[in-house]
Amino acid sequence: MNILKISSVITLLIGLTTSVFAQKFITKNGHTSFYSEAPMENIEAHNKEVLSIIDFESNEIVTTMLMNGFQFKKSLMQEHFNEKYVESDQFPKATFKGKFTPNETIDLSKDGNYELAVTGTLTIHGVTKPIDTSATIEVKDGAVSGKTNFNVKVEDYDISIPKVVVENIAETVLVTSEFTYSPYSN
Amino acid sequence: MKKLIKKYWIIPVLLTITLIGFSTYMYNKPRKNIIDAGAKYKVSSKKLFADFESNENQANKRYLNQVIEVAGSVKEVSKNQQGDFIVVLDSDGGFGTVRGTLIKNQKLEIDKIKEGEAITLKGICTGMLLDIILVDCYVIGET
Repeated sequence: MNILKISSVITLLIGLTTSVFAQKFITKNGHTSFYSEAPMENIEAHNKEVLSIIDFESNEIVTTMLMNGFQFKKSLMQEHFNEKYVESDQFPKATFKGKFTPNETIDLSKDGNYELAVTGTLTIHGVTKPIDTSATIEVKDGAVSGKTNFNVKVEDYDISIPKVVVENIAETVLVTSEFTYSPYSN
Repeated sequence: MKKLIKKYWIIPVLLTITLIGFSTYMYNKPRKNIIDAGAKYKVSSKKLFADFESNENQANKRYLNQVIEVAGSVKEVSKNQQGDFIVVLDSDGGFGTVRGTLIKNQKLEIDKIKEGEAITLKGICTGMLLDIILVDCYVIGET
């Protein structure tokens, strides 16, 4: 009887601690933007509905977004982006899947900042390429936020830019992501 | 001939100016103003989610980048990282919902929108992740 009691208390405690310190975090409103700097003009677009899940147990991260969700200031640019360059109707999503290695063990129970080395694959326009980048993670009051930026070479993803507008669009665009995560329960 | 040119030189000049003006306007035209835009489809959040769940490709063909009106019951109201309001509509889809990001300039008394309330969102459908996403949303009937 006693053993039963103790074991049930232990199970309860384990259950409690895992729910307090969830290992998986999610955001459905992450922010990803890209910036293209070219002689004629600079172009930027923002997507504020990015889905990202980070798992601190397996050190995995998955991020996916809708290409149609990138908003530009000028409607014509947005139309060209979707119809001519990334062909959003055919390839509606961009996805990153990868693993990360933190510079030190991440302790979600106290505030701290961490540097991550991230390696994985990025799929845009139906083309999947390996990618290595770095990211930062901040743990504050039990909440987790992450930031990263990296360059994407447009050509790598079979996105062709017509010669006429080559002066307007850079060959490499800077992608920046910021995620504020909340604990995720299955 | 010279007389003609002298008399009517203004026509090609005016045409060129109009053309340049028009192209500049088209080039710099801002995104659709959702408040004035007509909705192509009017659906319930349940129907919208069901359409995507049963056949995503078909639903993409129908709804992607279209202005649509979605009626449903409010599941959650929150703010995103940039401070824009997010209205989540129930869809009967268990985990999946319809999530709309509101435009900044709707002077909405967001506190008045309660969970379970029936509302209609007008916005542009960008597709499905876990949820159906609407951007540039406007809550119809609220001021």
